[in-house]
Amino acid sequence: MIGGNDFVFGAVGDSASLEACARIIRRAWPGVRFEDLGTGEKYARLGDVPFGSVRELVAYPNKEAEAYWDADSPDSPENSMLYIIAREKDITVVLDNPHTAEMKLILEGIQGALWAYVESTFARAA
Amino acid sequence: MTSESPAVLEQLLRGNDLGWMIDLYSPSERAISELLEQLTRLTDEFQNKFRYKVSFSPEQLKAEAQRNPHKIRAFLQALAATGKTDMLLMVWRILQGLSIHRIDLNYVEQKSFRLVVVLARPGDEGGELEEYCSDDINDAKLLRHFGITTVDRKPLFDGFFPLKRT
Repeated sequence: MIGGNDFVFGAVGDSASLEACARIIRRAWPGVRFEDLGTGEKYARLGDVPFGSVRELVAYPNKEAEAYWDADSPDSPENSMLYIIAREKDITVVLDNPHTAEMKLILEGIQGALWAYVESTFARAA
Repeated sequence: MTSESPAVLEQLLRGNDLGWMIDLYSPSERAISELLEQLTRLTDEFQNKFRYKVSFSPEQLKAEAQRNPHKIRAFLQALAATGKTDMLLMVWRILQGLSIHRIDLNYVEQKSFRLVVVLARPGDEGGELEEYCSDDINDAKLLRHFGITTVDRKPLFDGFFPLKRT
């Protein structure tokens, strides 16, 4: 079970924001696997994810972690999955333990990327 | 390209708030055909460079817009910003998932401009890098689309995004 620490970032909750999150996660997890929670479709490459139709995206660091979750195994290691939810005005990232160095880097990267996109969207729209 | 391509391209541009690319072009009736020629050049250049085909036909762009509307919006904005095939290839490669490894920007007032963007394939450390160059200062506009953040308090450009959403 994922621990359920929710981080809510004010954001343009569109497909571009989801991709920005996915890119940051891929940087930390080069072998990342993505899953569209709405359809159950899985993607081994970031470029294959149809972000336009995804509202809830799951990321696994590698195939092994994905297999643990697929098997609903109680042995799933901590932080072996990130759950990202896009809504109109925010992006929520759900994870087990935010205090690890890896998760701190991911959250920092996501926060910065989302805010830069908010600025580029609304500052230029004004 | 097909007989439908001009209408599909116009629909894509207007649907992404880029109708001005047609309306303000002089003469405006040539806008679509010039852009179609540019997309054909891009298709050819992509195949020459990477040895596999990616079609930049309006029909293909429209199909991708169904999956990733932000990517096509960003690409069309880039098409508005630059006429350089090399820069558009760079944009597309980022949209395909490549990371922005290095940017060199050299500018001397009233003398010179040089932009070099080097892309890398994520997870392919030590792999071949791709270099894209421009001497046209207008291509600096493309930098506004780069995703900006920090990781471990170190600078990171990642991704190519539209400037305004629909």
